[in-house]
Amino acid sequence: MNDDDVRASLALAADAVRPGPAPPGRQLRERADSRGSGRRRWLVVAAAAATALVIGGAWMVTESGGSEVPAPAGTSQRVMNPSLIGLTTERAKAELSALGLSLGDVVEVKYREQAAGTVLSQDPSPGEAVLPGDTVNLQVVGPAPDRPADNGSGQVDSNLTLRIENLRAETIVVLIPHSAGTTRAFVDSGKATTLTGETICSYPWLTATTTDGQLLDTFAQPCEGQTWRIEQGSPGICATLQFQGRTYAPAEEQPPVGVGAPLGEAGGADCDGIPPGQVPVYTANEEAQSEALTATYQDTVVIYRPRQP
Amino acid sequence: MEDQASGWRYGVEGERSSSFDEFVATRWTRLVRSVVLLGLDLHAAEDAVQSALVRSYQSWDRVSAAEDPDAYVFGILLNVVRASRRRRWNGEIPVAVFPDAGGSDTADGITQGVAVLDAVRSLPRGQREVVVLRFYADYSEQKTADLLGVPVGTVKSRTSRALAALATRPGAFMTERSNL
Repeated sequence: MNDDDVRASLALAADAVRPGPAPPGRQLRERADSRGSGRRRWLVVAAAAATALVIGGAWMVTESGGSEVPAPAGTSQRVMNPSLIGLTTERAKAELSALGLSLGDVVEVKYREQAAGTVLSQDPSPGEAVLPGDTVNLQVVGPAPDRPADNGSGQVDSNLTLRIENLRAETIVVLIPHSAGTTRAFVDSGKATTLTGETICSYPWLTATTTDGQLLDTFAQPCEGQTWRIEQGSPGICATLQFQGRTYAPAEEQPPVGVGAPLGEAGGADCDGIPPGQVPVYTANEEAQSEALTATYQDTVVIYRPRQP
Repeated sequence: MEDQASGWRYGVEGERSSSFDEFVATRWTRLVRSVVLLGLDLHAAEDAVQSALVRSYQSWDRVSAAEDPDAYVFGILLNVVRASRRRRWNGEIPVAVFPDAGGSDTADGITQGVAVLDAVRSLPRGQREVVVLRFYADYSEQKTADLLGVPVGTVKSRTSRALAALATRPGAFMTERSNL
């Protein structure tokens, strides 16, 4: 066992750990500011006391018939540029819109460890004073890069055959492995087929996004040797999907099959109507008869069905 | 302040918060994973990383001026993790992050990643820290020694003992990549 073996094994172990989405930097900064150092807190108290004295004095002058203290000129229309880092592009756009700001250039960069659409940086910077109507440019995580078929990854090793009941036309089955940092997705044609790599390879390129516009996954291009790889896009996995003009939601009825850890770890806080930590965990149903799907014990399977209008 | 070339405006405070936010967004996953490898469970790891980032922001000027800001933050994180372990310590190390919902207790149902995680977390704390810093965070022996506050010789001996212990774990550390 050499150093590279250890590195590779640790990377594999780390991939099995699925943290939730990064907290907004703004939130951490506010925590840091609210703690402050002892000296800083004292200064804040002193400043507050001084402000109170000034305001009190001004109030006394006003009340006693003096002139009003004019508001500083030219500052009334300015707003503080919000921190959008860590938000999805759509949410960032909504925050900007709420402040009368508009979304400017959106530059996509490749970055594997954040979900596609996540804002990485912005310009003007957070906290800067801006005027309504100003545009804010964003740098966001782009779609997962295309990858050729890779025989070394994305292949289910220890197979567990699962049975899935009641597959319907256009049902989307998403398999989320906890083992290799990849997501595999299957789209069923409605026919009673076995979902194997060969079946998957018969489908064209697919892209699914959550309803707030976040890219969920770029489904892998038909593969060679029944091997495929899809870059992770796990936050939002339990939200609804929009795919080819239709809206899909996780199946609400009797859960189909699947095994594995709670989706909360992979799903993060973007679940549509499903609080984190309460995402359904599907259990194996060996009696189901109609469809077969291979997975490992650490995987999670989510069934999406067309949402009724 | 106006950057004439790009038309983008910058402010000192805004730049500071922006660089911090970017640091958080881009380092979060890796830092949390490091802490899980160091032995905390996922939720405790996320708490620890948040605390370390909050502390880092309180001295962000020093962090950004450091030769290696990542190492500076990692040093803060190590202190937080050690303090957290002192508070939470109950004499047990969680053996797995994820439940084995499949109902199997055989190796067939356990991925190699989880087996590696289990193996690393079974090491004594000192050896575990060295393994994570050297082989996951990819710090040199000297930097690892600096971060842990121990001599380089200690890093070398701990590394040697840790690798010998890990080599005895069948199925966890393999000499070639598996097909996971």
